[in-house]
Amino acid sequence: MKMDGNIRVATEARYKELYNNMKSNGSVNDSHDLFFFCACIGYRNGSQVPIKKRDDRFWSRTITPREWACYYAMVLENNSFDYEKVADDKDVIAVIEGYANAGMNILIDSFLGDYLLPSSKSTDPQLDPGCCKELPKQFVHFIFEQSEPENLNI
Amino acid sequence: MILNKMMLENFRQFRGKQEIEFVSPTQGSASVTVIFGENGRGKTSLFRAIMFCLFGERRLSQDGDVKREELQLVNVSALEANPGQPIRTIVELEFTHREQTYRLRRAILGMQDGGRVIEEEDEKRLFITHADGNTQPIQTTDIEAVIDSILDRRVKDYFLFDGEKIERLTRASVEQRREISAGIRNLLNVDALETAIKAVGRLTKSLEKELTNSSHEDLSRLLKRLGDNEEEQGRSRNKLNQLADEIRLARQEIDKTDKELEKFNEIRHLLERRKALEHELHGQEQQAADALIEMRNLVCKATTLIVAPTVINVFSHIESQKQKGEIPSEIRRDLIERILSEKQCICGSEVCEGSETYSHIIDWLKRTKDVSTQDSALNLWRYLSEVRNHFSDDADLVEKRLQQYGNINSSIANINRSLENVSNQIGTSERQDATKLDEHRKKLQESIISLEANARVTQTGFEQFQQENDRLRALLKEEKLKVGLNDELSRRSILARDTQDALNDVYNQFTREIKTLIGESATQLFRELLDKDGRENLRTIIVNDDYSLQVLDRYKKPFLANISAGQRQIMSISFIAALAKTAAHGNKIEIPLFMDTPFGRLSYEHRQNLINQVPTFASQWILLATDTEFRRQEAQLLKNGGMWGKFYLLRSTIDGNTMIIDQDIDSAMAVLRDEEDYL
Repeated sequence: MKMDGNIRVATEARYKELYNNMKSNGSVNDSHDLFFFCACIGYRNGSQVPIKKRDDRFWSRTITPREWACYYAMVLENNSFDYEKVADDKDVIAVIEGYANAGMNILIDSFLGDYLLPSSKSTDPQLDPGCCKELPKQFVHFIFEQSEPENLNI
Repeated sequence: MILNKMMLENFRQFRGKQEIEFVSPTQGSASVTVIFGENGRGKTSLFRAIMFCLFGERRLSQDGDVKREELQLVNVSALEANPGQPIRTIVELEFTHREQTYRLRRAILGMQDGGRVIEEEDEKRLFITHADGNTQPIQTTDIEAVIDSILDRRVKDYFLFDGEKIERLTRASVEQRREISAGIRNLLNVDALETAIKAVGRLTKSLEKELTNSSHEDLSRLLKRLGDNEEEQGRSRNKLNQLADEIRLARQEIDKTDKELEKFNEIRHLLERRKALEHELHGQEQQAADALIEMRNLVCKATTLIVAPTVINVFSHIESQKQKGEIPSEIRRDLIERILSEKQCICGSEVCEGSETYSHIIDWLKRTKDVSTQDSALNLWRYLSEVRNHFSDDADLVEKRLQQYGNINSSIANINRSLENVSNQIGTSERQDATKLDEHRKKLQESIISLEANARVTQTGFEQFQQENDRLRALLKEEKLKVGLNDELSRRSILARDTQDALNDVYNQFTREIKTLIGESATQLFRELLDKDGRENLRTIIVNDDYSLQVLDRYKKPFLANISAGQRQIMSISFIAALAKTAAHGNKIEIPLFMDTPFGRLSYEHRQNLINQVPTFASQWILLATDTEFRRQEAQLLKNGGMWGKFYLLRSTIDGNTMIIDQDIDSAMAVLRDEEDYL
């Protein structure tokens, strides 16, 4: 649990364009934001898909402490609070990559698929720049739908 | 260059001989001339007259692609009153530059020929009176060169600020980036360098084409890919330019159609209503775009809500461990381990394996973590506590932003419905012509939307080609080194490519420097013109790599999307003034500065700052103003500053022409209105 900044975080290679598109057209601020979003969705849905073809996406030094804290929490909860499982940040990231991969699949199935170039869907998905203006709103709406307000009154 | 006097004869709406005397700093402390008149009275024509006299040009940058015949300079009613007779149009300008007085006169002859007007150049004359009082006539062939040495014609348009240009500059569009890029390119003044880059580019291409036939397979393949990619990128660039042109033309056509529609008096109120609705729509669309940026920033913060149950669960677990004293443990793990290995307690009593005490200690050991795990767990507890504490606020913000965006969208839908309604009313008017014009207008608007979408897609493609180009060039460099400089053709090709890269580097360095210079100058002016609140938050104007403008806040974060319409206007004015200052090579703009309706969306404090600050950086300020923006309040500010020297009123005559009336400043106050008059 050292929040190691020297790990190369990877995604599925076929999502490379999608990550780049999302960043360049301003749907997300940075790759780690989208990765975090996907990881949370994957975890929330109890879904983890191992990466078939790894492609380095960003350095772990861009991950914020809040994001690290959530990653540790996910791994701890899923391993009966065994601190050994979060001792090595590389292992944590490897687990989270699986959640993020699954999360991206869920994201595409639930709404992102409507914003992709149809010809790219089966291969390397790419955003359709002509119709993705409202994506930040879709992300926020997705968060709204997934969050359970009754759980938040702390 | 200081303007002293201008004489017009039959120039556009100014029939007969009329004169304006500009107040110049040489006449005392005053340096501001106000020319006041409603829209269409000829304020911009006065700037046009100066540009015509200086450079023989009748076209201003804001005219775009308006046809030459529509930019007629000869007064129409003079032509109609003298059928078959040539009418002489003259502009005479007297100005001072470096202690010499210049008298420049340019004339054209206009004649009606059937339905059209023919205009021909008639004469141009320049006399220079030197400081010793001697006057020297200048050869006609030398006049252009003399004038160009005083004011470079490429930068002349920076000295006219018109409301539309100000509005356009901070919109993120291809047109805006093009305008800024053209402005900076004009200031660079590196024609020879540009020619060299083009020439070396052609040479590189031709040499590399020859090299593709070489025996080195990888090199040939790379060169071919690079060549193809560059061609594709070039096509994208051309398409982008073409789209920007089409958008600009479509906008001009809409303006033209609106002017045509204005002729139909019975629907004038509807046209005004439509214009107001379109303006409102533009504002709402801007707000929607800003709201989307806010939501993008919110995503990274609020994503934690998705895993809120996990965060709460793990936090509670660590919290309970803390309460039980397991974290941090009451007793150190290494101490427990020592007791077990030495089989002796700290009190001295023996701890036997298998005893009750022994099994208690083993349980204790199991619950106790090592020190670094404890520290990490405590850190995690702290971070999770922070995340958890924000849940409620983040959830509220998510709901608020969605609601806000929904409201803006429903407002846009309402405005669109009203627009459709008004457009239908315009369309159902008995005037068939108006209906046709209105349909034409609708089609133009639809075409602008589709062109803009097309431009966004093309821009993305263009950027991808650029990335691929950079990658291929790096590979090419490596490949060429690998292949070696064995033959003459390879050597020449590498040399040509290196020269091209070096020239491009020089060009980019120049561009970067001038961008920085303009950014710094614009920032300085911006800070002087902003109101107190704006100064607190907005710090720096920068020209981005893609030539868009950006403003950074106190945390050096981009803030353009969040600034008000008034602040945008101030930002644009600062940028254009910075261009003018850079073009004038000095801290003070030594060329007369014309501002056409600059106060549009400015608050009173911004107007106050503009009125106080412009005379400090411009030697001569000629303010072209309408009654709605130049009121007694603004006039009083100018008067109090002691910089205001002249006031001219542009008044329409019965035959549709304009009279220039010289009024003293005190009587000018009677012509102006108070703010309350508009309420």
